[in-house]
Amino acid sequence: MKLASRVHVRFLDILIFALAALLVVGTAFLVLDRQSGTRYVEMTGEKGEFIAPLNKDADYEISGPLGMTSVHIHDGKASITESPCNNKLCVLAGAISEPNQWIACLPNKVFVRITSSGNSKDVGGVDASAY
Amino acid sequence: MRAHTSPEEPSALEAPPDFSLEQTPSRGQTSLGYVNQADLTALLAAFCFFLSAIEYMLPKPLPFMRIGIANLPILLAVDILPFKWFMVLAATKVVGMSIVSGTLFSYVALFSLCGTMIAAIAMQTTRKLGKGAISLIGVSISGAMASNTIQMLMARYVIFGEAAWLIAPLFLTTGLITGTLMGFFAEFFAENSHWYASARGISNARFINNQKNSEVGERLIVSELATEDNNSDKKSIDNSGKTAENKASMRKSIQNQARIARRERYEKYMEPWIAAVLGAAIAIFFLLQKGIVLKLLYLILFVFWTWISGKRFSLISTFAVIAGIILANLLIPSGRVLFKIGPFVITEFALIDGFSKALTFEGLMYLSKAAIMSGLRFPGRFGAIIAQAFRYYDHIIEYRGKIHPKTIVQDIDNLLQTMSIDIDRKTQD
Repeated sequence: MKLASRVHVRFLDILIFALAALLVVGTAFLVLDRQSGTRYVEMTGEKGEFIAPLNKDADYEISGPLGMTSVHIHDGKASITESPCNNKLCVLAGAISEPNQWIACLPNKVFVRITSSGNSKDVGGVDASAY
Repeated sequence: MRAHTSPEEPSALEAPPDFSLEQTPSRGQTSLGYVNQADLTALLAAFCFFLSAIEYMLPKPLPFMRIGIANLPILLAVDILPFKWFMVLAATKVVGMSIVSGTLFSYVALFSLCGTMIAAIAMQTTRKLGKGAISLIGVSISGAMASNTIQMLMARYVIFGEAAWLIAPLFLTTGLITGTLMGFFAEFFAENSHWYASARGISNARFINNQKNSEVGERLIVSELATEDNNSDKKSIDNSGKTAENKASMRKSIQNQARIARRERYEKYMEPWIAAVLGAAIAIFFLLQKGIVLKLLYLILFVFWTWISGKRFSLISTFAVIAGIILANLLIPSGRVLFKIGPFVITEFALIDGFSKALTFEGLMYLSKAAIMSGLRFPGRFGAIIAQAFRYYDHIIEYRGKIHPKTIVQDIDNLLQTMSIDIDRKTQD
């Protein structure tokens, strides 16, 4: 049997290949970007440390010497909703979402901080200097 | 690469190298015309099973990476089968291969089903829209990308969590490369195959289908299914015979025979449909379990059941898969910090969540292995087509012609022509 020697590549083949390659490269960039920009909430209490991704809604109870401090992660922001302290400064501090922002409940020794994985590009900037 | 199981024996029935449709006596040109869509679909599905068995033997760079040669018949079918039968072929391929590998009730089958069906739709769409401006290369790439993208999304939401994005670029790149290569091969094959040319001819002769379609359901012949499992059983026994002085392989062979004995006993006492129904019911219970200890107990039970069934399994690869899934889930820390290894933080929730997902994944895998027996048949017309595809698969592996890498296009063409003529002969009898 004699074989035809070549395969005919058509115009749309090249276009589809290019689109697919674009999808691959795009995904690679998207992944790199997501990875470097992923933010976490770090919660330190009396009985250890907790970490949670900022983009996933969750509630945490952090124990301190006075009792439980409730941390609420919602819509990419973290806040203390309840704490057994007298002044409730931590609750009044509101929500944080930028890297290096923090809330502390000093009486209950609970510290909540936003961190960013990967490079430190996000760190600093306007928010840090605004403190 | 040989397509049959007894390489020593000179094959008397081996097709001559210049075998082609024109030279087939009397039936010749018309022979393929008798094959109806259902038969053709079953034949292409059988060819998928065969190629996937070959692929199973080839080394893989990474466990989840496959060349996807089993998709070749689907790619060729784009221009052969009408849309309905094309989708039936895709479904038959997935269900049939899941029965052969015993993964029908596992996530693997779900991934495979979604990937294949989406790819089939993408391939048909690009073919219809592209018309003459596209070849099988573009069709193949669109199918591969569609399949890999949907599987990526499923991996993200079902098993690996956020960490799935990390392998996304690699996974999609593999899809692009293998998709392109398969496209080139399919296009080359289509250009040179006599079988393909004849098969394209029948897709226009719709009137033949209408006459023949109704027969498929009645022509259900249950054949002894030669699964991948059985093939490798034979192979390992043969090998151990040659290297008898090797104690390790002797022991392996004895273990293998014990396993085959268990399998025969299991098949004697267990009806395939009872095992499947039982498996499906237990799978629902299992999926509703939330507690990690219970899940672990279920898994151990399923491993035991698989052992009784005499199916082949590897605890080492099970541990590796579990470790891999846990590790992927740990990459996105969540919950109480248990300990830190360098920059790597082990968190409680991520650990438990990962372990739970891994147990579900492997639990379904074992349950499926134990509950899906190779003799399982489905009712109805779809079931008949699957059964027929298995029958053709038996024919293919008994085929005496050889498949060499050098002359692969002619060899596959010969195989398909011989098969079609065989089918034709049987249909006429």
